[in-house]
Amino acid sequence: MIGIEGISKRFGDNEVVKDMSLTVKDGELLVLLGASGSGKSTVLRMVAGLISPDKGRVLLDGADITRSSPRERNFGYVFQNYSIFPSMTVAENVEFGLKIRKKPPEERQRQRQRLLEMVGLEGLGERYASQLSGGQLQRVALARSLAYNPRVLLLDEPFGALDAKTRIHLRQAVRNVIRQVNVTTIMVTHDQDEAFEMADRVAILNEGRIDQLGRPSEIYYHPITYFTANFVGEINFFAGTVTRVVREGCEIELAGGIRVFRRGAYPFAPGMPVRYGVRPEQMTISLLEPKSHENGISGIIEKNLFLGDITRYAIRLSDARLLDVRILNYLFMDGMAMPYDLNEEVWLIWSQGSGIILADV
Amino acid sequence: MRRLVVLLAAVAGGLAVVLWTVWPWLPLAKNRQSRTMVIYGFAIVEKTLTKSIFPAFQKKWKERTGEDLEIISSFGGSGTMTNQLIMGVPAEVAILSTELDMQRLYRSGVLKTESWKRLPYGGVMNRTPFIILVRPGNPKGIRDFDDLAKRGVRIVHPDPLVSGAANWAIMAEYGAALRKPGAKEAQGKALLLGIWRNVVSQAGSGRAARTQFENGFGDALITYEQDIIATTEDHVSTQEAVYPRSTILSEHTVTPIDKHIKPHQRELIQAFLDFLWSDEAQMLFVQDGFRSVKERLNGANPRFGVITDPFLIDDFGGWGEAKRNIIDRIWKDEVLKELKS
Amino acid sequence: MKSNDMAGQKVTSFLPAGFLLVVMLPLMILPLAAVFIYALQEGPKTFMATLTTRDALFALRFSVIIAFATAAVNVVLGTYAAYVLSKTRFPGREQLGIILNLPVAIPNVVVGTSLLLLWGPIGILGKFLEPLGIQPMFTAFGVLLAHIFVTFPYMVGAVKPVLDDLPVTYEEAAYTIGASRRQTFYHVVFPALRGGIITGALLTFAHSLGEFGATVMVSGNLRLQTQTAPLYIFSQFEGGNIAAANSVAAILAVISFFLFSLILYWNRKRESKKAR
Repeated sequence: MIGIEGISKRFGDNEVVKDMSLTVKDGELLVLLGASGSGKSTVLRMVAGLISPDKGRVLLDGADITRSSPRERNFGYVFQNYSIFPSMTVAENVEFGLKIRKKPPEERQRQRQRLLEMVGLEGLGERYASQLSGGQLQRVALARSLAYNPRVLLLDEPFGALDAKTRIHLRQAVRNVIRQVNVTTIMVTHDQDEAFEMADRVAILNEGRIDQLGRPSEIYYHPITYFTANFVGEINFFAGTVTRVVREGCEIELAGGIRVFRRGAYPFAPGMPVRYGVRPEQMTISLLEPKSHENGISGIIEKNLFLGDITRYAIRLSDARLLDVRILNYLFMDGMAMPYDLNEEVWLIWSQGSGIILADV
Repeated sequence: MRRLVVLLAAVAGGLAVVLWTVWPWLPLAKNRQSRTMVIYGFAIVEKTLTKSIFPAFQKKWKERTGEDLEIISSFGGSGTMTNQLIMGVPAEVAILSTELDMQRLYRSGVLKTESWKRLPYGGVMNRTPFIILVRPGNPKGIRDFDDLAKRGVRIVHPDPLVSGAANWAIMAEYGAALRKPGAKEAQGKALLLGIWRNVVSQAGSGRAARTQFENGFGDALITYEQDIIATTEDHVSTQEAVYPRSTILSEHTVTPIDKHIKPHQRELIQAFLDFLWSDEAQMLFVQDGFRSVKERLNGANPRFGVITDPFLIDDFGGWGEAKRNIIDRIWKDEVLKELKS
Repeated sequence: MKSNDMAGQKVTSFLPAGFLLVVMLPLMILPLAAVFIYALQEGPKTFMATLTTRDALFALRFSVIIAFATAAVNVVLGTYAAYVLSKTRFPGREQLGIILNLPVAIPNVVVGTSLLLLWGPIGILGKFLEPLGIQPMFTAFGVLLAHIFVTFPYMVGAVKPVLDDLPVTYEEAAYTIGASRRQTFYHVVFPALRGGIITGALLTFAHSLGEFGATVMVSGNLRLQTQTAPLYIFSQFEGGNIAAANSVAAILAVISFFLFSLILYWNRKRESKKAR
C-alpha cells in the first residue's frame, strides 16, 4: 500500500504539487489523469524518489520512504521515451536490475525468458534498441522494470510516444501483464480513454490538486466539480435555477425558460442557482415531442459531421446556443447518408434519469 | 575471422609504436647517460657548437673521467634566449650574442655577479665582423654601408628588440659612418635613417634573417661573416659577400650561470669553459668561420676577408654606453620615430 | 526517418568538388605537398638520414609520449568536466564553460607565458616551489601541463554534446532499477560516451603532436630533454636545415592524416549504429 500524505513541490515560483494526499491499495492500478502542468508526473517522480517533496511524506506499507533513494525503494519505472540502454541488448536490459542485485546467472536468464515471453518479445533478446519499434521498446521497458519483482510499478505516460494503433494494442497488453503479476501500479496520462481502460481508480488532477478520485464510471457520471465534468468526456452545460424539489427528483428551469426534470435525491431548495449538464451521447434526435417521462428541447440542425460510427450534430437552440449531440449510426442504410437534413427543426430528447447537476458556486 | 585479423594487426601495430617510442627509456638500454650539462646559446653558434665543439669536449671528458656526457642545448635569437633565461630556464652555461644580454641577466638576478668578466678575454669566446650579403653579381652595386641607403635597395634585417645580431648590425652601420674622418653623430644618424628606410623585413634572429634572405627575399642582408663562410661551404651560393671598409667585430660572450650549477657539476662546467679558450676549440671556431680571440690562429682560414678599418664595441665605450646612447637614443627614439612620421 | 529517404539522398556532382579543389589547392593542398617535396628533395636516403639523427628521433618520441600522456589525462579530466558542465546546475556554470573553451581562442604562446608566470622559478607560485627544489617548468612535466591546458577544450567539446543529447531519463531509469551513481556511470553513461571520448582522445592526441606556441615557452626548447617535434622543426628551419625540418614535418603530417582518418571512421561507425 502506498500513501501520499500532504506532499507539495515547488519549482522556482511555481508550486506544481499542492498539499496532495492519496492512497493506493495493494494490487490496485491507479491512474493520475491530468493535462500537462497538472503536476501528475511530478507526483510520480516523487513516489519514485527521483525528486523529493518540499513538504509531506511518501509511505510504503506504513513506513516513511520520503528520504529513501530509488535504489532502496525497489520500484519499477517506465518512461515515455522508453530509455532502453542503447549499449546493451534487450536481454541485457531486462537482466540489468538482477545483475545490479547480484543474482546468479541462471536466475537472471530464467527471469528474463519469463518476462520477454510475458510481454510478447520471445526471441528478440539479442537485438539492440536501434533495431526495435517504439511499441517493442516499451515492452522491453516493462519487462525490464518487472524483472526484479518491484514493490510498485510506476508508468509515466507509457504510450505517449506511440502511434494510435500501437497505443490501443499495447495498453491492453500492458494491462494484462500487470494483472498477471498483480503489482501495485500508478500510471500517469493525459489521455482519458487510456485512463478509463487501464484504471481501477482514476484521480483527476487540476493544477497540483486532486479534483476527484474514483472509479471511471463514478468520475464520468457523477463528477463533483465543473472541472472534472468538462475534463472527462464532453458535456453541454446550461445555467439554471431549481424550481421544484420533490421526493422523486427535482425540476430545473434552464435559461430560455425550458424546464427539465432529474430523478434522484438532491439536497437542493427551490431558487438555488445550479448548472445542469447533459453528455452529447445521452441525447437523441427526434421529430416527435418528448413524452412526459423525458426531457426535451427543440432546435434547428445547423451542422452535421459524419464520423463513421457516430454522427455529430450541432443544434441551434432558440436562445442562439449551440448544442453538441452524438447519434450512433445504427439506422444507417444505403442511399440515406444522413437520417436528418440540415435546417430541419428537431427535438432533442433525453432521459430524466440522466443529466448532471452541480451547485453553482 | 577477418575482423579478428584486423584487430590483431591493429593491436600489434599499436604495441610496436609504443615500444619504439619508449625504447630509449627502457631500463635494458645500455646507453644510459650518467652526466648531463645544459647549455643555452644564440642561433649563430648552434652549428659549430653541436657539430664540432660538443663532440670534441665529450671525447675529452670521456678520456678524462670515463663518463659519457650528454649535452642538453637550446638555440635561438639572443634576446629570446635571454628572456627565457630570465624566466628561469635551468641552463648552466649561456652563450649570448652581446654583452648587453649578459647585463640583462645580471640585472634580473639570474647572474649574481658579472661572472663573464672573470673568464679569459672578458668572456668573449670568438669574434666575427659584420658584412653585407648581396645577390650574385651584385646587381644593386653595393660596395659599402653607404650604398645600403640608396633608393630601391631592399634590406632584410633582424629585429633589434630580440636579436643580438641586429644590435651588432646597427653598431656596424652607425660606427662605419662615424669612422670617416671628421664625421659626427649627425652623419651616423643620417646613415641609419637611410638604411632603415630600406628595411623590408625584420626577422626574430640573425639566423632567421639569413633563412629569409636565402629563400630569395630582399637585395641585401647585414650579417656575420662567419655565417656566410660556414653556409656557403655546403650550399650553392645564391649570394655574394661585400666587405665594407670599416665595420664592427662582434664579440660573443660566455658565462656560467652559477645559481644553476650544482656542486657536483662545477668541475665539469669549469672544464668546458677552459676548453672553449683552448687552442683546439679556438681552431674549431676558425675552421667554421669565426675569428679567434687569439690573433695568431686566424691565419688558418684563408676565407677571412680583409677589413681595412675594423673596430670593437669598446671603441664606443662598451655595450652599456652604446645601448643607451646609440641603440636606444639615436636608433629607437630618433631614427624609428622619424621613419614612422 | 522513412519520409526523409529521398531528401537525404546526396546528389553526385563533380562541379562543387572541383570548385572546392581549386580554392583549396593554393590554400592547403599545395603547401602540404611542398612539405613532402622538400622532405624528399634530396632523395629517400637523405630523408631517412635526417629522420634518424638523435635529435629528430628524440623529438618524435618525446612528442608521441607527451601526446599519449596528454590524451590519457584529458580523457579522465575532460570527461569529468563535461559531465559536471552538462549534468549539474550551479551558479557560474555557463561562465565556467566559456572559460574552459578559452584556450581555443587565445594564442597558445599566451597560455605558455601564463604558465611560466605562475609555475616558473620567478612565477607567483613557482617562487615558493623553487627553494624546495620543485621546478615544473622546462621539464617534460611542464610540457605535459601546457598540452593538457591547450587541448582541454577539444576533449570537453567532443564529450559534452554527447552528454547534452543523452536524455536524463537513461540515468533515471538506471537509478530506479536500483543502480548506484557509480554503476549508472559505468553501465549507462560511459558506454554512451565511448565514441565521444575516443574522438576527443584522438583530437587531443593530434593537437598535442602539433602544439608549438605554449611548448616553446614552457619547455625551454632543450634538445634531447624537452624538445618536441614541432620545436625541432622550427629550430631546424631557423638553422636553415630545410630538409631536416620538412622530414619531421612530413612524418607529423602522415600521423595527423592517419589520426583524423581514424576519427572520421569512428564517427561514421557511430552514426551508422545510431541510424540502424
